[in-house]
Amino acid sequence: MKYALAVYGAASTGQSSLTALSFARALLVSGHEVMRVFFYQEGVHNATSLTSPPQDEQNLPEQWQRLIAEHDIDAVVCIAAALRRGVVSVDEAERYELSASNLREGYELSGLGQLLEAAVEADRLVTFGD
Amino acid sequence: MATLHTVNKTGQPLELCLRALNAGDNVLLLEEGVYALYEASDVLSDLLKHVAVYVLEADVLARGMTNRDNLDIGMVDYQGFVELTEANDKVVSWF
Repeated sequence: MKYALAVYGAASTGQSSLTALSFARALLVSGHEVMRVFFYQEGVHNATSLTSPPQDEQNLPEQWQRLIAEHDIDAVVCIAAALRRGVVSVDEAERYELSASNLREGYELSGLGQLLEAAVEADRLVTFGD
Repeated sequence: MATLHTVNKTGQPLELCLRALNAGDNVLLLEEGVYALYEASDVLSDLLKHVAVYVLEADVLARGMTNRDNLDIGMVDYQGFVELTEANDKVVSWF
């Protein structure tokens, strides 16, 4: 089946990002398709390339990126949620004349319409919030 | 049209979920929601007359919980979580 996931939680504030990642891995093992992961609200922090947790802790944003790259998953980050939290792409950094960008490679900043589309097109939409 | 309800904490999310349940739905307790095994075991035993209730194994083990009150619940791993989403038409998350 075709699945879409919505991730509302940051790796640093609760468990939902890890739960979502574990669920995504189980989906792929079961032979399902993950058509899109939509990062919303605090979940946009999963898309920053600047996380450096201690070595004995998991780097969830890095693990998300690896899964997304390996399985060619469409990873969409809510643009409004991202910009107000300082998660920016090269294009947005230029547009707002910011000193740097930090969106991980393989992710796209876009609007809520992408979540709506996923809800319509996927067989299942599963939301993970804190 | 059965729905899977995931509940990730006790308190308001669980209470709101209870109001939205239909007979034949499934409930999956995960994250802090597994504490319902102790905090809301009376609520769960009522609930079990109408819906099937599951707990996510990793979250139960991480918190040292057991099925102390011998509730008729199922324990699932992430693969089982996937199967619950296959078996239900929709998934509603309460958090």
